[in-house]
Amino acid sequence: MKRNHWLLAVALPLLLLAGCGAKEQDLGAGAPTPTPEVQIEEPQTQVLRSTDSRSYYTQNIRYDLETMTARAWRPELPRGYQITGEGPVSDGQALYFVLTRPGESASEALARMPLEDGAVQILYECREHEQIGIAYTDGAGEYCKRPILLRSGERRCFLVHQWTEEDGNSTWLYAWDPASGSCEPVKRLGSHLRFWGEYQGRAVLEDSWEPEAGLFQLDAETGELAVLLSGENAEAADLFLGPPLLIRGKFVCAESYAADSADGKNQVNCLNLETGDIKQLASSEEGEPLVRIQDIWDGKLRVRDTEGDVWYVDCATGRRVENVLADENGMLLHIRAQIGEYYLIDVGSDRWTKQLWINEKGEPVYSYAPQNRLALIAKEDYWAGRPDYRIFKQEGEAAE
Amino acid sequence: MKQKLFTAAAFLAVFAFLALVLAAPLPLMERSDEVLYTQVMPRQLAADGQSAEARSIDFARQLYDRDQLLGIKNYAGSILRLTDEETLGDAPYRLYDFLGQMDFWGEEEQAELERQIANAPPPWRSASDNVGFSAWNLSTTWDGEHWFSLQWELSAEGQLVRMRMRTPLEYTGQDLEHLMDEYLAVTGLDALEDWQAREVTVQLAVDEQSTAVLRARYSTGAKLYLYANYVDGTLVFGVCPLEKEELDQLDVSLTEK
Repeated sequence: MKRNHWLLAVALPLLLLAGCGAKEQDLGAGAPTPTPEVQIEEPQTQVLRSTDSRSYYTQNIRYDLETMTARAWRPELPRGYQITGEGPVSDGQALYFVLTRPGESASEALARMPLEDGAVQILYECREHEQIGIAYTDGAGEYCKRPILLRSGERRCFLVHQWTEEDGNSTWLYAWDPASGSCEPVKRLGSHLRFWGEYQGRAVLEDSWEPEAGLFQLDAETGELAVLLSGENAEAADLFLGPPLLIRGKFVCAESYAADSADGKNQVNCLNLETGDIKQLASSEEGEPLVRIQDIWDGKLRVRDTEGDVWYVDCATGRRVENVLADENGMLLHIRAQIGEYYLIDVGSDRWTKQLWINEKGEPVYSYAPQNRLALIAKEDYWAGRPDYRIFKQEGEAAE
Repeated sequence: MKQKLFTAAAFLAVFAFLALVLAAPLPLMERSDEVLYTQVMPRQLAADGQSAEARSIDFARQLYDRDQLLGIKNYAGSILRLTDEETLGDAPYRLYDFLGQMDFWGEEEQAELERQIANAPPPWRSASDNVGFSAWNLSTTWDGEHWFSLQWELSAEGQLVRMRMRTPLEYTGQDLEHLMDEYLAVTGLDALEDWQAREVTVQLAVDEQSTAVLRARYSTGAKLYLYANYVDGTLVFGVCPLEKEELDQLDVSLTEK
């Protein structure tokens, strides 16, 4: 019996100590990462955007929804060409972007890169005094302007601005036909057409030389322009024809400035294209910070005053939207783009990365910079303020 | 019975004592691991990172080793410290000595440089590292109205690493190639036989009235990037250690543009 006691005296502490040394089980480690059931329907719109049903593209990065990774995309460009600061748009099969040839007088070209093989083909080369039409095709943007590319069956249409001594300014609709591989002018649309967004899947354009003529919807299939907002509608024309516009869904928003104000006081108005109602959504009085329109997401207008405060206003009710997802400092998380029922948002990061970049004089510079990260969030979580999002990992980065 | 109780109590006491003594350092060990893993460690010097030919050239080796040891490629974009000294000391003369060795550097350039240094009021900014490289950044003007930044960086042996200077003179691509040839000759980097011209594909934010002439070469063996640019009235040239992968990143990186 005594012998057993001594055995116990040695074995028990050893067993217990073995337990102490064992690493505590990480409760989260074994749990499968929740995968959002990203089911994206192909958008029924003629206007191509920065997103397709699988990815979001910036000027140099592809954010892949399937793998939730960010990786650089780099086309092999024809010699002498550079990709411009403007980003690409996607039709799900290929990316379209604008190239330039520095130092050449006719320097722009529209390029297409199939996602499958990455071989760049030039669809259209501008002649002297020609430019490819670009705009914030995702809406007001704030990021980069992208080429205005329109679906017309298998054809892809785009705008070319021309200037000639004989005819002055003109904007042409061109179409690239993949079957023949050629680009042909379809129609002269006007003197200088500006793209402000889309309505019912069609590009909305305004002639900057004749804004009073109205807003037009372009049908890329036929090249026909249909009046969306007539200049004869005096109240709407006064507020919405001329100034920069934001068009998303059924809302058109613009800022207007009081003519009698020296310091400037302004207001933000939105027109409901379905009902014709005009609502004032925000305003500033003399001496207060001006209110600027930024973007509209699902009928909610994001405004920012000149002191930096950002908030959303419901375009239908005019009420401020509460409980929007914000960071720990109360700053609203910024929506970049939408894909189906999801938003792509910028989430801050405390990570700093060492980056190599070229400064404004062409020198390589190595410095630390905060790493911005993108995340995918369900729309309802964003508006309910629930930080239930998934961050895109960078290519090669170990799983967290 | 009493003895059994005593034995049991003794077991418990021994066990509790052992458990306490052996487990107590665990949290401290974890903390120590954490410190170990998060502290900044200098990278191991990769002596075989450069070719033997490159290692035989002092300046090429110093540039590469400085990057390996200290993580410094150059002081471009760095915030330099304000210098309280009343004089620049011999810093300008070390620069003049280097530039004087290049035929490219004519009397006009030298006079302009001296004028700019004379026009730069203190305090000046400078930085130096513990392998003897030092950089200067002077805010100066040529007409008392338009201010700009005059910058240079020298190695411990007085080799120019980089320079940025506003200039009323104009330079063509041919001039910049000439400058690079002479720079390589003066620094001894011309002994490297694998310098390859490199097309600079970055787009600078220059407007139509501006000029941007960019020239660059890369040595794969020495892992050095040589550049000479004339952008909007500013002459910039120098050499910078870059791994091949970093060179590729110059065109595209995961940093959003």
